Amino acid sequence: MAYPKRDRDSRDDREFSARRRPALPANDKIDFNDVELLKNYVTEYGKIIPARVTGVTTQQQRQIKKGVRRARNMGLLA
Amino acid sequence: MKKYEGLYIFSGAAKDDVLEGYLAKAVAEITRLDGKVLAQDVLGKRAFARPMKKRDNGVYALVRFELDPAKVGELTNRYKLVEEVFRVQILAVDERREAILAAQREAAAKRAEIKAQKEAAAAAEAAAAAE
Repeated sequence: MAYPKRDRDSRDDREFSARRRPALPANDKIDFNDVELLKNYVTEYGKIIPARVTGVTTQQQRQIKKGVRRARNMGLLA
Repeated sequence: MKKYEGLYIFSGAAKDDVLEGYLAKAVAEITRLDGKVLAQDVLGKRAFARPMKKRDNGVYALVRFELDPAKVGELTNRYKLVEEVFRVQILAVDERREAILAAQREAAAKRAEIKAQKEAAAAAEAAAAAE
């Protein structure tokens, strides 16, 4: 049976729009040591939120990942 | 010689004088390998976000130093033998990146100041209009 093609972009917006956080300016770098900033990009359980929800660039998401993993290693984040 | 930044965690039960001894031991390892300590700062006692090795808190300290890159591995291994150092994270300092981050913070502070001034002016106008 042929199903109608799903509009993925609007579906993602509907699912995640309530959780979308303000995006940073695209040129801004993430400070790895700024734990308060990094807390904006993890869930209540400490999991990293995907970039499609937060609206950050790919490069910023990589920096967030690096910072969160370092902070976890040093007990600053769960 | 390259610049590094070490984030140390010492036992949370350590008092000031004992903590100084612990920090001195950690710094001695750096000078032992012909490193040069540039700055050191005790960040204070902090609770861990999750228990680590059955401990709930620790005292954090930051040490900035210069060392031959070939000796960093040896330094890390030495710290595994030093009981006073609970955990250590040694990272290379990227000065260009730090300059960019400092400029970003300044720009953000200026934007916040301008916004605060505009809000104050708007509040004053609203108060004058109300009168």
